[in-house]
Amino acid sequence: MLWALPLAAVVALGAGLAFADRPRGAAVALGVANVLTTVPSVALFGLLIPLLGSLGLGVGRPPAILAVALYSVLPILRNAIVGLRGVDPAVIEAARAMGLPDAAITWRVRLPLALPVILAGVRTAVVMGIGITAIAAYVGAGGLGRWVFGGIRRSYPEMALAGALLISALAFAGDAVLAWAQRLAGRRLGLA
Amino acid sequence: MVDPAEVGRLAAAHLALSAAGVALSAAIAIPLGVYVTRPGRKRLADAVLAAAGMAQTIPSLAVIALAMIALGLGWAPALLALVLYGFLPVLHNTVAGFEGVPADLLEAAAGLGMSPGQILAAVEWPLALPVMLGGLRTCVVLTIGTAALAAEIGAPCLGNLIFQGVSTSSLDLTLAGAIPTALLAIGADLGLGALERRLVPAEVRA
Amino acid sequence: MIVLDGVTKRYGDRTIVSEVSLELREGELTVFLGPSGCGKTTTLKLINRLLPLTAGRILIGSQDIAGLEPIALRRRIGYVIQEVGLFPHYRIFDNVALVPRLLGWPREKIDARVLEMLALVNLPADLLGRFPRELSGGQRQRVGVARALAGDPDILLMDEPFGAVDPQNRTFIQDEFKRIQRRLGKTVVMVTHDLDEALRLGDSVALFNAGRVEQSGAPADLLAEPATAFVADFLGGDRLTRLARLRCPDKLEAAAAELLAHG
Repeated sequence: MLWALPLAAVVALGAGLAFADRPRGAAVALGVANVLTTVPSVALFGLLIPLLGSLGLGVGRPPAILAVALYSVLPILRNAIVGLRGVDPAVIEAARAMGLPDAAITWRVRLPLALPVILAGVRTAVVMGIGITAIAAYVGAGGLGRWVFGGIRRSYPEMALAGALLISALAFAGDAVLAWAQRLAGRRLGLA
Repeated sequence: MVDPAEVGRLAAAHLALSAAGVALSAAIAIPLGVYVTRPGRKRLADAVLAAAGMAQTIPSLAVIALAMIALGLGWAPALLALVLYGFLPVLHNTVAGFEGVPADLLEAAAGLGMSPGQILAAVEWPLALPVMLGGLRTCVVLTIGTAALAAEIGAPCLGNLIFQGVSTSSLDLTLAGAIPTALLAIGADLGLGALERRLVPAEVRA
Repeated sequence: MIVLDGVTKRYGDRTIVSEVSLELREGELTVFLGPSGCGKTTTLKLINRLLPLTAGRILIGSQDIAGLEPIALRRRIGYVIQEVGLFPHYRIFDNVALVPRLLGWPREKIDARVLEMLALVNLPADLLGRFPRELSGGQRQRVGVARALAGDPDILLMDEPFGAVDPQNRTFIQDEFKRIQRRLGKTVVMVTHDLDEALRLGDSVALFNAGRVEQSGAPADLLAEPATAFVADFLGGDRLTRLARLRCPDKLEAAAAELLAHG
């Protein structure tokens, strides 16, 4: 989970920056990400195990990390494209008029202004990632999901309950932290 | 080795479980969504929307575990979990869809002498439909995915093959479960997308 | 004739409309004029019972509207709003045919009526199969008027009907509407904050301020003899020029004489 998110964020933001001004490319990238997200997580693990297995990485953490990363790309990418496109063209024109080079406009104007929207995408990705990581326990990735699977298999409801509650708490906490970050970013920009 | 008839049987069971889940979710969420968006219930609608958003944060595995604790093993807790999880996006989008109908249209409709029932059927419902269908699409994809997990609590479905395959390190079994599950979800998503385009004329889409 | 008698509307302890009494003559166009928040729109919506009265009564003909079924009442009264409120998922034909269908007219009569209405507002019949978003703002506005008139109501209520039309076309559409109104002899109540529109279209003007009617009467009367400081202020320093434009030389002369006498 901790590995997956930065991976997804880098890929998604890179793609977002590349495609924000290219509607065709954006549509294709979003379409691919969309189909990936449609594949149920249980099935995705099932597909990744043989795929990674041929590289000797079949079970355990690698399929979990890759799966979470694949799922996380869509919300971050979608929001990156929406956020970057949503920046007021007048602001960009003003920056250009002041002689800022394109790279500086991207880093110092567009990305900061799109940040709240991008963070909202990260928030969705985090909540989803926590849920998928829990499921990943069955491919041997460890984590709290083990308690749930273990509790169910051994008909030991207390253990499953503890696992379920802790996973939910984690998801709520992740959601709350990113909601806070999103508001903070919004306020610093004077947008909210 | 994998028995194709067995895969077919499990796929049918998976489909039946998912269909029951989606039907129940829609049967609960759509009337509830319509109810809370009637005039004078704005606060209730906001509260329901916020609660649905919160509940959506709970991971599916946790919902499955909770359903098992409540109802034990078998298809009943599986269906409960599917409905608990699946009705949220439908509810969310029903409320959002009905709240998204512009107030001036409602005023014009009432001003022209349409009854509340006529306004609901002829103005609000068709205008909220695209958003509702979006929620239903999310619900279907989520339900097919969550149904695979339901194998864990004893409901027959394609998830059985995946779980068995992983625990016995049998790639054949794993893929025999995973590929149809993925195709089912993608197929349902594409099918509903096409339905959406047919039901909603291009001139109306925002 | 529409009679407003001590009409009052309160929300909690906020009074939006306070004891408004007016007589709106049949076949005339009465304008409710005033700044935003003066209660003119609220008063309009009391007439077709989109809002319930707090106190007072409203009579249409000799019937108290409180005794009429709201939905049946509204089908007798046309209604046009600034946003037009055309149903985006209905073709133009279905938008115009709405009220006749609600009234249960036979199909042939509805078809004929829709064509008649479109001709009335000067729109080509080939628009009938289009959706509202394919029309210009001015065309949508005309469809809105056609829809409101389709059920052949005796009364037409209009809330800032031309507010969203661009200024170049507004005067044209206003004049055209005035012609239609004269021809059909409908009783029209129109809400606006636009003084020029009120003077151009109104047979009679009721100037609202803070929930009360400051003055009501023919436009020329208001311009010539503003009853209160608010009325004089609202009509502006050039009210005599406006009066002259209304082509009422006698009243202008009288007012000028008065102004000279006091100056």
